[in-house]
Amino acid sequence: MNVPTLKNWRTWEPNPIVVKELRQAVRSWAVTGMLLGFLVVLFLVTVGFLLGQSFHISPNQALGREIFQFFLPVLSLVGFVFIPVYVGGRLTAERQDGNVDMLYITTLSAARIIRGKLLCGIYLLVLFFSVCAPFMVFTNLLRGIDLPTVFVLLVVAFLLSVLSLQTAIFLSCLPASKGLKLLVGLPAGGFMMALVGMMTAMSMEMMREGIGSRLGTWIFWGPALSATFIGLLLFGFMHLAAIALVSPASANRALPLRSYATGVWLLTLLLTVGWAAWGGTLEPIAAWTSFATGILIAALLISVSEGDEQSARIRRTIPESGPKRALAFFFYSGSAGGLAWTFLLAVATALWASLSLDVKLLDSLSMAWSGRAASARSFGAFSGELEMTLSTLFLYALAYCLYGLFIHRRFQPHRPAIFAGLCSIALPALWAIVPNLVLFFLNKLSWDALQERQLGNIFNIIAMKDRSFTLDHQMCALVMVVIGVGLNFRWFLAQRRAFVPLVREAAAVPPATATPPPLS
Amino acid sequence: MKVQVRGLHKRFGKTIAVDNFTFSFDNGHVFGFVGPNGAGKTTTMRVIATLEEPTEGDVLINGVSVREEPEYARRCVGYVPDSLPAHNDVTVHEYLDFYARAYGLQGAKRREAVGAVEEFTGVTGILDKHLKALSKGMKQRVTLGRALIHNPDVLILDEPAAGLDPRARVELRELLMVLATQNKAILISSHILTELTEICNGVVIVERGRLLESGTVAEVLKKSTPHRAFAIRVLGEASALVKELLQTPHVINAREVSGEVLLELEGEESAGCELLATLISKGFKIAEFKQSKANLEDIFMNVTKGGVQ
Repeated sequence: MNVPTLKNWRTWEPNPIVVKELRQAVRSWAVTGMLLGFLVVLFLVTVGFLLGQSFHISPNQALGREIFQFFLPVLSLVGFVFIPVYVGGRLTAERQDGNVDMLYITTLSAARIIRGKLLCGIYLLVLFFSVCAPFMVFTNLLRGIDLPTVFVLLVVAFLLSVLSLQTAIFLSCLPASKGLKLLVGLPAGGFMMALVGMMTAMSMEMMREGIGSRLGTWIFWGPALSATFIGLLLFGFMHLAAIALVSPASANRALPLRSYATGVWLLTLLLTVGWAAWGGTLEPIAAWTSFATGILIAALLISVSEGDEQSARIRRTIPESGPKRALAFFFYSGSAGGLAWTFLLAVATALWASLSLDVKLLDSLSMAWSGRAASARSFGAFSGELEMTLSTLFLYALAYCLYGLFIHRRFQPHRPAIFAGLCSIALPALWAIVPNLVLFFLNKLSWDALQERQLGNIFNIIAMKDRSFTLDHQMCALVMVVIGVGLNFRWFLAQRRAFVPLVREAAAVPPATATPPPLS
Repeated sequence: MKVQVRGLHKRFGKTIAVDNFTFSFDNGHVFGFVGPNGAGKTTTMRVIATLEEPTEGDVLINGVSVREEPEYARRCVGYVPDSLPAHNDVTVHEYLDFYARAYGLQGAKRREAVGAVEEFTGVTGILDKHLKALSKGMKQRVTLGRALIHNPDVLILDEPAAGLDPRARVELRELLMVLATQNKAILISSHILTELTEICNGVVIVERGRLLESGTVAEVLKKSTPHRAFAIRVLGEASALVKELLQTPHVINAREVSGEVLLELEGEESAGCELLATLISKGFKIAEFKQSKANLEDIFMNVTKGGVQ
């Protein structure tokens, strides 16, 4: 990472992307126009409110708060929507197939490109926030809002803006056409707009109650730290995913992502256990299990879309020794390794959930820590059903992914690997839609029919009225998985056997980085 | 620095853009890459520049695969695409400076490299101009400068002369001739074959994704035109000469075109001398007798069938 230190500060140079992007941004009409517009709005609002107040005889004790309530959505709109769209839009344009003019023919690493884009966006955010901060602090003088509330809300808005920015960069890196990106980006944009609304509502609540008095208590820090932690996890994932997406196809794209996901899995597990034991409740475990299952289902889809081919570049880095190689199999790019890694984490998740929710292992931990058992009475019956539903969902997802993999390999091998992932989505969707379509044409489709048992329909698990059918679904999913494993077993073994290091040919060793001499 | 294209395949859906291309070029070689639109030239060049992943096959630069070590290839290759830079809000100097930074050049070395490239490409007078305000010829110079900023050993130029006026073309050709003397391996595609004839010592001819011929110009010339062509201007009746020539051994073909007699002759170089002596001895008044040298255009027309995809 290119960071200035005491040793290198004389020779240190900033990320080239930051230099270029900022040069362009300060000359861009979009940025300067927005900044000027932003300043004009802030000024007019302030003047408008002050003039309005001058017509009243009694002083408004909450004038500062009222002005602030207007400033914050404007700032949020810029931070959550404008700057992410500006940075993401530029990156999307550069990623278009026809545009070879930019970064991808230089020796800049994927990580530096993404970091450069992110830093440029952050600098722009700092610029807009710096412009807004004096106006916001000024509202404190007009009463109705305390300084800690101003600063806390500014920090929250800034952190959410950085997260929005990283989301936009991640979406821009997706290997899709401009239209498809727009299609994905629109709901994301809608979410950002909703976030502006949420931010405004949250700020009104905070201003009403005042933050200053709560700063020394866990009532503030508990949710604040939790939200920051979740935001950081999301940010980290999207940052690494964006880097992986712009990395060359021959690179081991999966390694940083799977390592990160494993680390996050372990860290969140430990935190959840601590929370459950300390608070004497099982809800955190249930929430963590649900969240982890959702992530693992997404990981299944990504894994089957990775393909089987491992470039010589990846194979050269496969460890020689047996145990290291066995471990590396789970973390290297490739569908087989990805499926194995996901399955392993899923088993560990299920095992832990079962130990916590059924065997009451947490009870002893909780008793030791907080002196009370960790099982909430009302939660007991629900926990078994939750486990069953989650495990069935995962098994169905696994089965469909295995079928998708088989269909791709057997019938459409010339198509790109993402075809397997698309099949894995299309199959359950078809199985969920087609029977109901038939019922519709037979004039037998009703809400009752939709809530009846429909084995193989992944969505039926949630829609089903009679929860006792969950066991039937689980058995069905298990049988489907067994069939899927049978169809792919030989392929998996072949992939495992092929996971051996490649001996580097002497001629193929690239020479060390040469510093090009100046042209004569 | 040797560039070897080995069994290169590239498919876009059902379209085969490049079908088993194999050729190589070396330091000091200027290879012309010719073919009609849709022949696979740009795709091949993009693969060499690491912008496209081949479906099969590989390109080796000094024995190092561009698939496996794209970072290495990027250090060695300078690529001039067929599109010109279209950045808003960037001056010529900033543009070149950015690329120098992107290639890892720092401090004085970067300033030196940028200065040298600006001087070499002749853009010193327009350094503060915005890219958007430049003419096509000047943009092309800037693009060439960008490709040269890290002093690559391999230069890939995709239609660098397209859309340029005659003066800009001549200037570009002169720049390329200087680069050729700097021992760089250059692959250049162009539709203007006469331009290539003057600077290329090798040629790769492709059509509809298939490689038709490759090698040095002399080799390809020999393969594509096995007979020697001559043009004769005779004082008096040309038709009598045509009649005589058609009865002469080793003469493949003879016809009258605009007062000249064009013919094709089998055999070595001395066959031409012998024919001239024979004609003089038979009383023909030969005013002019010259061997027509085939150029890239002739080779191209001989080898290709005019198909596009």
